[in-house]
Amino acid sequence: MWMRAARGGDALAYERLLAAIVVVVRPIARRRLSRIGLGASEAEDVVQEVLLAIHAKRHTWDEGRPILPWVGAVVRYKVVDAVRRLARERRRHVDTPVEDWANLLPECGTDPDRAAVDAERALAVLSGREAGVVRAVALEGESAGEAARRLGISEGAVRVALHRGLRRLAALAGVPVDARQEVRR
Amino acid sequence: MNTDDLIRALAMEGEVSKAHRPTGWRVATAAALSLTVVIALVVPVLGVRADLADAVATPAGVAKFVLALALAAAACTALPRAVEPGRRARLDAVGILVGLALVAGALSVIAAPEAALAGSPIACVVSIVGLSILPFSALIAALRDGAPTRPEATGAVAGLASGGIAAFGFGLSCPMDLGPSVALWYPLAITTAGALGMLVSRRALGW
Repeated sequence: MWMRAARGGDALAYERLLAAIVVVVRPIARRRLSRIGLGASEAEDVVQEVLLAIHAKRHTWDEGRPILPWVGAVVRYKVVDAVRRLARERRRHVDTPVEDWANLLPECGTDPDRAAVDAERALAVLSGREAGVVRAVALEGESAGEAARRLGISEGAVRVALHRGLRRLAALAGVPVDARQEVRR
Repeated sequence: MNTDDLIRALAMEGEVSKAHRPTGWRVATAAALSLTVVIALVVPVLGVRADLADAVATPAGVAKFVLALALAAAACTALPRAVEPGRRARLDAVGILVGLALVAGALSVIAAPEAALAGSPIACVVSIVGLSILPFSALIAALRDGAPTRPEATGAVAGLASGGIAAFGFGLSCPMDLGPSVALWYPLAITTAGALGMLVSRRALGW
Protein backbone atom coordinates (compact mmCIF):
# COMPACT_ATOMS: atom_id res chain seq x y z
CA MET A 1 0.00 0.00 0.00
CA TRP A 2 1.04 3.65 0.32
CA MET A 3 3.13 3.14 3.40
CA ARG A 4 4.94 0.30 1.69
CA ALA A 5 5.63 2.52 -1.30
CA ALA A 6 6.80 5.27 1.06
CA ARG A 7 9.30 2.82 2.53
CA GLY A 8 10.57 2.37 -1.01
CA GLY A 9 11.15 6.13 -1.06
CA ASP A 10 7.90 7.26 -2.73
CA ALA A 11 7.16 10.63 -1.10
CA LEU A 12 3.94 11.10 -3.05
CA ALA A 13 2.52 7.84 -1.74
CA TYR A 14 3.45 8.85 1.80
CA GLU A 15 1.79 12.24 1.30
CA ARG A 16 -1.36 10.51 0.09
CA LEU A 17 -1.33 8.20 3.11
CA LEU A 18 -1.05 11.13 5.53
CA ALA A 19 -3.81 13.02 3.71
CA ALA A 20 -6.07 9.96 3.95
CA ILE A 21 -5.33 9.69 7.66
CA VAL A 22 -6.25 13.35 8.15
CA VAL A 23 -9.62 12.79 6.47
CA VAL A 24 -10.40 10.09 9.02
CA VAL A 25 -8.87 11.69 12.09
CA ARG A 26 -10.21 15.23 11.69
CA PRO A 27 -13.89 14.40 12.36
CA ILE A 28 -12.90 12.16 15.25
CA ALA A 29 -10.81 14.93 16.82
CA ARG A 30 -13.53 17.54 16.27
CA ARG A 31 -16.19 15.35 17.83
CA ARG A 32 -14.05 14.47 20.84
CA LEU A 33 -13.02 18.08 21.43
CA SER A 34 -16.47 19.57 20.98
CA ARG A 35 -17.56 17.24 23.75
CA ILE A 36 -15.21 19.04 26.15
CA GLY A 37 -16.16 22.41 24.68
CA LEU A 38 -13.20 23.07 22.41
CA GLY A 39 -13.33 24.20 18.80
CA ALA A 40 -11.98 23.31 15.39
CA SER A 41 -8.63 25.04 15.87
CA GLU A 42 -7.72 22.87 18.87
CA ALA A 43 -8.96 19.87 16.93
CA GLU A 44 -6.62 20.77 14.09
CA ASP A 45 -3.73 20.87 16.58
CA VAL A 46 -4.62 17.36 17.67
CA VAL A 47 -4.75 16.24 14.02
CA GLN A 48 -1.26 17.62 13.54
CA GLU A 49 -0.03 15.91 16.69
CA VAL A 50 -1.35 12.64 15.31
CA LEU A 51 0.48 13.21 12.02
CA LEU A 52 3.74 13.96 13.80
CA ALA A 53 3.33 10.85 15.93
CA ILE A 54 2.64 8.68 12.87
CA HIS A 55 5.71 10.18 11.26
CA ALA A 56 7.99 9.86 14.27
CA LYS A 57 6.95 6.25 14.98
CA ARG A 58 6.57 4.97 11.43
CA HIS A 59 9.38 2.48 12.01
CA THR A 60 7.17 0.56 14.46
CA TRP A 61 4.92 -0.67 11.67
CA ASP A 62 5.78 -4.16 10.41
CA GLU A 63 5.29 -4.55 6.61
CA GLY A 64 4.03 -8.05 7.19
CA ARG A 65 0.99 -6.75 9.07
CA PRO A 66 -2.06 -4.74 8.02
CA ILE A 67 -1.51 -1.02 8.49
CA LEU A 68 -5.01 -0.01 9.61
CA PRO A 69 -4.81 -1.49 13.12
CA TRP A 70 -1.44 0.22 13.49
CA VAL A 71 -2.77 3.61 12.40
CA GLY A 72 -5.87 3.09 14.52
CA ALA A 73 -3.86 2.36 17.65
CA VAL A 74 -1.58 5.39 17.18
CA VAL A 75 -4.57 7.66 16.51
CA ARG A 76 -6.46 6.37 19.53
CA TYR A 77 -3.49 6.79 21.83
CA LYS A 78 -2.71 10.31 20.60
CA VAL A 79 -6.32 11.54 20.57
CA VAL A 80 -7.07 10.16 24.04
CA ASP A 81 -3.83 11.65 25.30
CA ALA A 82 -4.58 15.07 23.79
CA VAL A 83 -8.19 15.11 24.99
CA ARG A 84 -7.08 14.24 28.52
CA ARG A 85 -4.45 16.98 28.48
CA LEU A 86 -6.72 19.62 26.98
CA ALA A 87 -9.54 18.79 29.37
CA ARG A 88 -7.13 19.20 32.27
CA GLU A 89 -5.84 22.51 30.93
CA ARG A 90 -9.36 23.70 30.38
CA ARG A 91 -10.43 22.80 33.87
CA ARG A 92 -7.51 24.76 35.23
CA HIS A 93 -8.48 27.78 33.17
CA VAL A 94 -12.10 27.65 34.27
CA ASP A 95 -11.13 27.29 37.92
CA THR A 96 -9.18 30.55 37.81
CA PRO A 97 -11.34 33.60 38.63
CA VAL A 98 -11.46 36.19 35.86
CA GLU A 99 -9.71 38.84 37.98
CA ASP A 100 -6.70 36.59 38.39
CA TRP A 101 -5.81 36.41 34.77
CA ALA A 102 -7.37 39.61 33.45
CA ASN A 103 -4.27 41.62 34.32
CA LEU A 104 -2.09 39.02 32.64
CA LEU A 105 -3.69 39.58 29.27
CA PRO A 106 -1.58 42.52 28.01
CA GLU A 107 1.54 40.34 28.22
CA CYS A 108 0.00 37.60 26.18
CA GLY A 109 0.68 39.02 22.75
CA THR A 110 2.75 36.01 21.91
CA ASP A 111 1.85 33.30 24.34
CA PRO A 112 5.24 31.96 25.55
CA ASP A 113 3.79 28.56 26.42
CA ARG A 114 2.35 28.30 23.00
CA ALA A 115 5.61 29.31 21.36
CA ALA A 116 7.45 26.69 23.36
CA VAL A 117 4.91 24.05 22.41
CA ASP A 118 5.18 25.00 18.75
CA ALA A 119 8.95 24.94 18.91
CA GLU A 120 8.99 21.53 20.59
CA ARG A 121 6.53 20.22 18.05
CA ALA A 122 8.66 21.52 15.21
CA LEU A 123 11.76 19.96 16.77
CA ALA A 124 10.03 16.58 16.79
CA VAL A 125 10.59 16.25 13.03
CA LEU A 126 14.33 16.68 13.38
CA SER A 127 16.67 13.82 14.11
CA GLY A 128 18.06 13.42 17.63
CA ARG A 129 21.31 15.33 17.19
CA GLU A 130 19.82 18.12 15.11
CA ALA A 131 16.96 18.57 17.56
CA GLY A 132 19.39 18.67 20.48
CA VAL A 133 21.62 21.24 18.82
CA VAL A 134 18.77 23.47 17.68
CA ARG A 135 17.25 23.33 21.15
CA ALA A 136 20.55 24.17 22.83
CA VAL A 137 21.63 26.98 20.52
CA ALA A 138 18.46 28.51 19.13
CA LEU A 139 16.11 28.09 22.08
CA GLU A 140 18.38 28.06 25.12
CA GLY A 141 20.96 30.47 23.75
CA GLU A 142 24.07 28.40 24.30
CA SER A 143 27.10 29.13 22.14
CA ALA A 144 28.24 26.52 19.64
CA GLY A 145 31.19 25.70 21.89
CA GLU A 146 29.02 25.20 24.98
CA ALA A 147 26.57 23.03 23.09
CA ALA A 148 29.42 20.97 21.65
CA ARG A 149 30.88 20.33 25.09
CA ARG A 150 27.55 19.47 26.63
CA LEU A 151 26.45 17.16 23.80
CA GLY A 152 29.91 15.62 23.52
CA ILE A 153 30.40 16.37 19.82
CA SER A 154 32.78 18.66 17.98
CA GLU A 155 32.00 22.32 17.45
CA GLY A 156 32.01 21.79 13.70
CA ALA A 157 29.42 19.06 14.06
CA VAL A 158 27.27 21.46 16.09
CA ARG A 159 27.41 24.06 13.33
CA VAL A 160 26.56 21.51 10.64
CA ALA A 161 23.65 20.06 12.64
CA LEU A 162 22.36 23.54 13.49
CA HIS A 163 22.53 24.62 9.89
CA ARG A 164 20.73 21.51 8.62
CA GLY A 165 18.16 21.60 11.40
CA LEU A 166 17.29 25.25 10.92
CA ARG A 167 17.12 24.90 7.18
CA ARG A 168 14.72 22.02 7.54
CA LEU A 169 12.58 23.90 10.07
CA ALA A 170 12.57 26.92 7.80
CA ALA A 171 11.42 24.76 4.90
CA LEU A 172 8.71 23.32 7.15
CA ALA A 173 7.48 26.72 8.19
CA GLY A 174 7.61 28.03 4.62
CA VAL A 175 10.12 30.73 5.58
CA PRO A 176 12.79 31.75 3.04
CA VAL A 177 16.09 30.16 3.97
CA ASP A 178 17.87 33.43 4.80
CA ALA A 179 15.51 34.03 7.71
CA ARG A 180 17.50 31.52 9.72
CA GLN A 181 20.15 34.17 10.27
CA GLU A 182 17.82 35.88 12.69
CA VAL A 183 17.54 32.77 14.81
CA ARG A 184 21.25 32.24 15.04
CA ARG A 185 22.77 34.27 17.82
CA MET B 1 1.00 25.73 10.71
CA ASN B 2 -1.43 24.63 8.06
CA THR B 3 -2.09 20.88 8.12
CA ASP B 4 -1.57 20.48 4.36
CA ASP B 5 1.84 22.14 4.66
CA LEU B 6 2.69 19.82 7.52
CA ILE B 7 1.78 16.80 5.40
CA ARG B 8 3.95 18.05 2.54
CA ALA B 9 6.86 18.73 4.89
CA LEU B 10 6.57 15.31 6.51
CA ALA B 11 6.37 13.64 3.11
CA MET B 12 9.58 15.40 2.10
CA GLU B 13 11.15 14.06 5.30
CA GLY B 14 9.65 10.64 4.70
CA GLU B 15 11.62 10.20 1.50
CA VAL B 16 14.30 8.75 3.64
CA SER B 17 12.15 5.73 4.29
CA LYS B 18 12.34 4.11 7.66
CA ALA B 19 12.31 0.35 7.65
CA HIS B 20 10.54 -1.61 10.35
CA ARG B 21 12.69 -1.60 13.47
CA PRO B 22 11.48 -4.13 16.02
CA THR B 23 12.65 -3.78 19.60
CA GLY B 24 13.14 -7.51 20.23
CA TRP B 25 16.92 -7.46 20.08
CA ARG B 26 17.19 -4.25 22.05
CA VAL B 27 15.05 -5.72 24.83
CA ALA B 28 17.02 -8.97 24.86
CA THR B 29 20.32 -7.11 24.96
CA ALA B 30 19.12 -4.79 27.73
CA ALA B 31 17.91 -7.75 29.80
CA ALA B 32 21.08 -9.80 29.32
CA LEU B 33 23.41 -6.89 29.97
CA SER B 34 21.58 -5.73 33.07
CA LEU B 35 21.44 -9.28 34.45
CA THR B 36 25.22 -9.45 34.07
CA VAL B 37 25.66 -6.08 35.79
CA VAL B 38 23.28 -7.04 38.62
CA ILE B 39 25.25 -10.24 39.23
CA ALA B 40 28.53 -8.34 39.05
CA LEU B 41 27.13 -5.97 41.65
CA VAL B 42 25.70 -8.58 44.02
CA VAL B 43 28.78 -10.82 44.14
CA PRO B 44 31.23 -8.28 45.64
CA VAL B 45 28.74 -6.05 47.50
CA LEU B 46 26.32 -8.51 49.10
CA GLY B 47 28.51 -11.60 48.80
CA VAL B 48 27.55 -15.03 47.46
CA ARG B 49 26.02 -17.48 49.92
CA ALA B 50 28.63 -19.96 51.06
CA ASP B 51 26.63 -23.06 50.18
CA LEU B 52 25.46 -21.92 46.74
CA ALA B 53 26.88 -24.97 44.93
CA ASP B 54 25.12 -27.38 47.30
CA ALA B 55 21.90 -25.35 47.25
CA VAL B 56 21.43 -25.35 43.48
CA ALA B 57 21.82 -29.13 43.52
CA THR B 58 18.50 -29.39 45.40
CA PRO B 59 15.10 -28.70 43.81
CA ALA B 60 14.15 -26.12 46.45
CA GLY B 61 17.49 -24.35 46.04
CA VAL B 62 17.34 -24.08 42.27
CA ALA B 63 13.60 -23.36 42.05
CA LYS B 64 13.80 -19.71 43.10
CA PHE B 65 16.36 -19.01 40.37
CA VAL B 66 14.33 -20.84 37.75
CA LEU B 67 11.14 -19.01 38.72
CA ALA B 68 12.78 -15.58 38.81
CA LEU B 69 14.35 -16.16 35.41
CA ALA B 70 11.12 -17.58 33.98
CA LEU B 71 9.21 -14.47 34.99
CA ALA B 72 11.89 -12.18 33.58
CA ALA B 73 11.93 -14.15 30.33
CA ALA B 74 8.15 -14.21 30.00
CA ALA B 75 7.92 -10.48 30.65
CA CYS B 76 10.75 -9.63 28.24
CA THR B 77 9.18 -11.78 25.55
CA ALA B 78 5.93 -9.87 25.89
CA LEU B 79 7.54 -6.42 25.74
CA PRO B 80 8.46 -6.03 22.03
CA ARG B 81 4.84 -6.49 21.02
CA ALA B 82 3.65 -4.01 23.62
CA VAL B 83 5.49 -1.22 21.83
CA GLU B 84 4.11 -1.97 18.36
CA PRO B 85 0.81 -0.15 17.96
CA GLY B 86 -2.04 -2.39 16.95
CA ARG B 87 -0.54 -5.51 18.51
CA ARG B 88 -1.49 -6.92 21.84
CA ALA B 89 1.21 -8.18 24.14
CA ARG B 90 0.67 -11.77 25.24
CA LEU B 91 0.62 -11.55 29.00
CA ASP B 92 -0.77 -15.01 29.85
CA ALA B 93 2.58 -16.42 30.99
CA VAL B 94 3.44 -13.32 33.03
CA GLY B 95 -0.02 -13.29 34.59
CA ILE B 96 0.13 -16.98 35.52
CA LEU B 97 3.59 -16.66 37.08
CA VAL B 98 2.71 -13.54 39.08
CA GLY B 99 -0.59 -15.08 40.16
CA LEU B 100 1.09 -18.29 41.28
CA ALA B 101 3.76 -16.35 43.15
CA LEU B 102 1.21 -14.25 45.00
CA VAL B 103 -0.91 -17.29 45.89
CA ALA B 104 2.24 -19.04 47.15
CA GLY B 105 3.05 -15.99 49.25
CA ALA B 106 -0.42 -15.86 50.77
CA LEU B 107 -0.39 -19.62 51.44
CA SER B 108 2.98 -19.48 53.17
CA VAL B 109 1.74 -16.76 55.53
CA ILE B 110 -1.33 -18.80 56.39
CA ALA B 111 0.42 -22.17 56.63
CA ALA B 112 3.66 -21.15 58.33
CA PRO B 113 3.53 -17.58 59.60
CA GLU B 114 6.65 -17.89 61.73
CA ALA B 115 8.77 -19.40 58.98
CA ALA B 116 7.49 -16.77 56.55
CA LEU B 117 8.73 -13.94 58.76
CA ALA B 118 12.13 -15.55 59.35
CA GLY B 119 15.31 -14.17 57.88
CA SER B 120 15.67 -10.49 57.05
CA PRO B 121 12.66 -9.69 54.87
CA ILE B 122 13.23 -5.94 54.80
CA ALA B 123 16.75 -6.29 53.45
CA CYS B 124 15.42 -8.75 50.89
CA VAL B 125 12.67 -6.48 49.58
CA VAL B 126 14.82 -3.36 49.63
CA SER B 127 17.67 -5.14 47.82
CA ILE B 128 15.48 -6.61 45.09
CA VAL B 129 13.56 -3.39 44.48
CA GLY B 130 16.77 -1.36 44.58
CA LEU B 131 18.58 -3.70 42.19
CA SER B 132 15.61 -3.66 39.83
CA ILE B 133 16.19 0.03 39.05
CA LEU B 134 19.12 -0.98 36.87
CA PRO B 135 17.39 -3.46 34.55
CA PHE B 136 14.31 -1.21 34.51
CA SER B 137 16.29 1.74 33.17
CA ALA B 138 17.91 -0.48 30.54
CA LEU B 139 14.58 -1.91 29.44
CA ILE B 140 12.93 1.52 29.27
CA ALA B 141 15.82 2.77 27.15
CA ALA B 142 15.27 -0.18 24.81
CA LEU B 143 11.51 0.37 24.68
CA ARG B 144 11.50 4.11 24.09
CA ASP B 145 12.26 3.57 20.41
CA GLY B 146 8.90 1.84 20.13
CA ALA B 147 5.43 3.27 20.63
CA PRO B 148 3.60 1.77 23.60
CA THR B 149 -0.10 2.57 23.24
CA ARG B 150 -0.74 1.27 26.75
CA PRO B 151 2.18 2.77 28.67
CA GLU B 152 0.91 1.71 32.11
CA ALA B 153 0.73 -1.96 31.21
CA THR B 154 4.04 -1.79 29.38
CA GLY B 155 5.71 -0.09 32.34
CA ALA B 156 4.31 -2.66 34.74
CA VAL B 157 5.57 -5.57 32.63
CA ALA B 158 8.99 -3.93 32.32
CA GLY B 159 8.96 -3.50 36.12
CA LEU B 160 8.13 -7.18 36.64
CA ALA B 161 10.91 -8.22 34.25
CA SER B 162 13.35 -6.02 36.18
CA GLY B 163 12.08 -7.50 39.44
CA GLY B 164 12.74 -11.00 38.11
CA ILE B 165 16.26 -10.09 37.01
CA ALA B 166 16.98 -8.40 40.34
CA ALA B 167 15.56 -11.36 42.29
CA PHE B 168 17.82 -13.74 40.36
CA GLY B 169 20.86 -11.66 41.27
CA PHE B 170 19.84 -11.19 44.89
CA GLY B 171 19.11 -14.91 45.15
CA LEU B 172 22.83 -15.59 44.79
CA SER B 173 23.50 -13.92 48.12
CA CYS B 174 20.28 -14.75 49.98
CA PRO B 175 20.86 -17.86 52.16
CA MET B 176 17.23 -19.02 51.91
CA ASP B 177 15.94 -21.75 49.60
CA LEU B 178 12.46 -21.64 48.17
CA GLY B 179 10.28 -21.92 51.27
CA PRO B 180 7.67 -19.90 53.13
CA SER B 181 9.92 -16.86 53.50
CA VAL B 182 11.15 -16.72 49.92
CA ALA B 183 7.65 -17.48 48.61
CA LEU B 184 6.32 -14.46 50.47
CA TRP B 185 8.99 -11.78 50.12
CA TYR B 186 10.36 -12.41 46.62
CA PRO B 187 6.95 -12.05 44.96
CA LEU B 188 6.22 -9.02 47.11
CA ALA B 189 9.46 -7.36 46.03
CA ILE B 190 8.95 -8.25 42.36
CA THR B 191 5.38 -6.96 42.29
CA THR B 192 6.56 -3.79 44.02
CA ALA B 193 9.00 -3.33 41.15
CA GLY B 194 6.10 -3.89 38.74
CA ALA B 195 3.94 -1.33 40.55
CA LEU B 196 6.76 1.22 40.50
CA GLY B 197 7.18 0.55 36.79
CA MET B 198 3.52 1.29 36.25
CA LEU B 199 3.76 4.43 38.38
CA VAL B 200 6.54 6.01 36.30
CA SER B 201 5.32 4.63 32.98
CA ARG B 202 3.59 7.77 31.68
CA ARG B 203 6.69 9.81 32.25
CA ALA B 204 9.14 7.14 31.09
CA LEU B 205 7.29 5.74 28.10
CA GLY B 206 4.94 8.52 26.96
CA TRP B 207 5.46 9.77 23.40
